[in-house]
Amino acid sequence: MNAIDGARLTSLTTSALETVAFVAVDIGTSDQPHEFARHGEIQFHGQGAHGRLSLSASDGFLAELASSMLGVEPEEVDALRDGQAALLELLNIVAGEVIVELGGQEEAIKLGMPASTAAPMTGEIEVLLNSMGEPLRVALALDTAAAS
Amino acid sequence: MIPRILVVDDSPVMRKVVRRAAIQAGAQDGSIMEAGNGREALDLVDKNWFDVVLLDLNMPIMDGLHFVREVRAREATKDLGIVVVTTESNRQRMAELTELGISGYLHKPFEPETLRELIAKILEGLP
Repeated sequence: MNAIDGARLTSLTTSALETVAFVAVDIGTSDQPHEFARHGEIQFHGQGAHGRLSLSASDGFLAELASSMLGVEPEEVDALRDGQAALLELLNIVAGEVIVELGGQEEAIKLGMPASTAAPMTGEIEVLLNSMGEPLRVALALDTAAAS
Repeated sequence: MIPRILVVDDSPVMRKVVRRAAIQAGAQDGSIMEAGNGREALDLVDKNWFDVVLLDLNMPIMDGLHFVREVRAREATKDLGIVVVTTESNRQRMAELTELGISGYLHKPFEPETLRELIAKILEGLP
């Protein structure tokens, strides 16, 4: 299994956001408490890697993400329905990039299904991003024992 | 002829993204149908004619690879045009899909314009 660090996880997430939704993000700081309204998690497993990836975001971030993906105004977005669905799709896309980073294109690492969760996940690698003050948190937990 | 398109993805947001790209590429909204997994898609292709299926792979109930195998095994649908739109990039799985005769492949994340151009190219190639 290849190594992945916070900088690479940031790069993969940033690139996915810019490509699918033209959403530009900055590195966030934890100086102020952030309110994450929605969370999602996806598992992956294979010979080369086993772990979980999670995303948490504010409703404001998800409104921007969903509106950009759908080509509508943020006011037209239903935060619960469209925002949550956009979060899970972004999670699926970033996870697809993470498993290639971990195992390359030869390793058969299988992605699970992205699912909403009630609370944020903790992980060895955590990244905080923000778009116009609206936060997105990315957490990656790797189970090296299961992967070996 | 109005092209008939089936969009198969478990993500409602991604179905809307693909539908919008298909319309921008020249398809008509009323000629596009959607399914949330391979099983639903199989039911639709059994009852309707489609020119092309735009297919995600990682889905619950029946995944995209299973759907392609089922479609290719049926006389009525064995030549159906299928374009895979997915986060999947494992070489072995993609090689199997190529052997099953998929018409195209688009890796997520993609820019909306890339998807629109791909669909437009497919529609231009229809008889």
